[in-house]
Amino acid sequence: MKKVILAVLICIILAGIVIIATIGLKADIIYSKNVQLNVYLNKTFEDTDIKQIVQQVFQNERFIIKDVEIFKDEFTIILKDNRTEEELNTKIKELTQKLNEKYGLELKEENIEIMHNPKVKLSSIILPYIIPIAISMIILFVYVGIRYKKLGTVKIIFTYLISIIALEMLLISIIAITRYQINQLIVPLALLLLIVEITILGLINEKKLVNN
Amino acid sequence: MERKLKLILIILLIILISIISFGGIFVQNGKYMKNILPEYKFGMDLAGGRIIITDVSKEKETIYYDKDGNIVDTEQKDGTSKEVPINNEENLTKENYLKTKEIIEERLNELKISEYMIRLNENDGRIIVQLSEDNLTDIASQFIYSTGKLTIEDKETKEVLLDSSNLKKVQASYASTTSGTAVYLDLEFNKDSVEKLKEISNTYISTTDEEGNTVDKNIVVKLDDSTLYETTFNTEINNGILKIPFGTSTDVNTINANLNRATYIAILINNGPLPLHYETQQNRFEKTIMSFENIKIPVITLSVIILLSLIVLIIKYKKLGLFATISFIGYIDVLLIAVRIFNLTITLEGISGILISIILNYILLVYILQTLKNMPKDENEYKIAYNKSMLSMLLVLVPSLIIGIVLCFVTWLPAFSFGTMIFWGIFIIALYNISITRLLFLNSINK
Repeated sequence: MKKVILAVLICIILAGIVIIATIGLKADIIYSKNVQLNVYLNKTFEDTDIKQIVQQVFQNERFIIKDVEIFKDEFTIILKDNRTEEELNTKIKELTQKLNEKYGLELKEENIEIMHNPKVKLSSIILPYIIPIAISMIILFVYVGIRYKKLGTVKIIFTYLISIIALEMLLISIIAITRYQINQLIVPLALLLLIVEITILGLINEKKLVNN
Repeated sequence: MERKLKLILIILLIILISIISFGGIFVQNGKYMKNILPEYKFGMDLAGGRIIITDVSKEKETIYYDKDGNIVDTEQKDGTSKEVPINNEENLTKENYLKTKEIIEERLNELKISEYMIRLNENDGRIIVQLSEDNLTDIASQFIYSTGKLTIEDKETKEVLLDSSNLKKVQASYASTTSGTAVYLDLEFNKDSVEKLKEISNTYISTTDEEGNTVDKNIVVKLDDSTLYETTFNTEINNGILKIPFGTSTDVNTINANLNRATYIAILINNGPLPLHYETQQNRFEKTIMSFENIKIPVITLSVIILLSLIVLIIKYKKLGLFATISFIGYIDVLLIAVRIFNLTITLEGISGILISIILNYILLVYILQTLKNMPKDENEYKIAYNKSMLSMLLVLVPSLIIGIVLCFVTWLPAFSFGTMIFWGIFIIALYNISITRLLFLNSINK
């Protein structure tokens, strides 16, 4: 049974590596190339109303609405940048009409500022963690090597190293295979898994020490 | 009876902690009541941030020529003029855009900006930077679009004598003088330019003409065409360091302000000038996308998981499980109070850190309950078993603590936030369970 699980996990990791190397990871709107529509209403709005209007215009598409400044009279809509200028202008026209109907405005299409934003390099999200995590790992290996000396220093360090790499690779492979969009929750999730994993490994080793 | 009283007091203490955690501590402040517990502090992903958009400048500058074709400052009679783009077409390359991004990143890192996100459009050079909103944001926004080109020019002829490419290092320094503390910007030139500076310091001096008038031959130090300093030299500079004064004062605040100004300029110059001129298109605050609406599913899911975990504790360990549940709730409240008291910044990574601390505390409680489950109801035996399992569990938490401590030294806010939460989370796990949980468990024994 163990062997079967191991084989499945290895297959998932390998498939993940292939997908990352060929297609790459899929980024969420916030990190991918996106288009931003800045709307200055000059009138206080309700989030739910704006959300409803944007939903009607862009239908099943994923979008983000953000308030701009603090006066609650300006907002920005962020969408994937996958339309031609013509298609986008049609949508903006529709959006303007609906906003005018709702708020009794005389907003024109040219009042909506369009900004095409380039993508964020996904590597820049994890880059700040690499050195500190590497330093932590070295100290951690020294600690577990000493603490679980009776269980075999090399074996213990190797177990920790392989387990940590395997789990993080498994996470990234699952994300790649399922085409889950990389968003701001991925790094916190990876960190959470790392800590939980080393705690579980610690518990297992403490138990082994007691049994020894 | 005494045990029951102690137990009631501990439970009341936990209830009090919960009330403080969710409500705060209010004291009379004039006519009003004021909460002395600081508010939660959020990072860029939860509080929003400044969005700065800069584009490659398309502006043109007018160059004036005199009748002989020499470049002059102002329009001349019989002279000509020509409009040229501020950025040469040939320089609008992907390499220069990438170089610009790299320099901006270096500037922001040196400025120790706690959190930022940078995007580059490799086709047109547009750079979008999202910064956390704090006291450095305005300085940082200037660092994004300022070219940062330093020149040392002849005041009369405008000839560039030295520029950024001749520099080795720039740094702020200070020295005590009779009139107070003087702050300087030290321009240290590279090996090849030491001689040139020496020559300049011997050329640009005050002399007396035949009629006895003093004639000054000045140099001007400019940063992005703004004059930083203008001087003649009294002594020869042979160490390759040109010291630009940034004010002298005896007032500590003024000295610090001068020092900060010099340091900021040093950072701006040190990373080299941007290869292109940029101009700001937008500089505004945008709120976060992390509204409750967006995260309500994970929040509800987590709450249900925690609730179910506590129910499992009560069902499996009966009375001890109930006390563990009370202790668990108390731990969350203490942790949240610590986050506010120590002014820890909460980011998504920080939330992950809080969540991990809660999970670790739960694991610790289960570990202790498992040990105590089959123990005889004897206080001494309980104490020994509790202490032993507590120590064993704390040793298990050391690796997590190591990660937390190392991340506490990182300036990158999300990592720092995670590190501080883990550090305080584990620290409180140790303190709280050695004191409150231990008392709860030991006083729960029925003799």
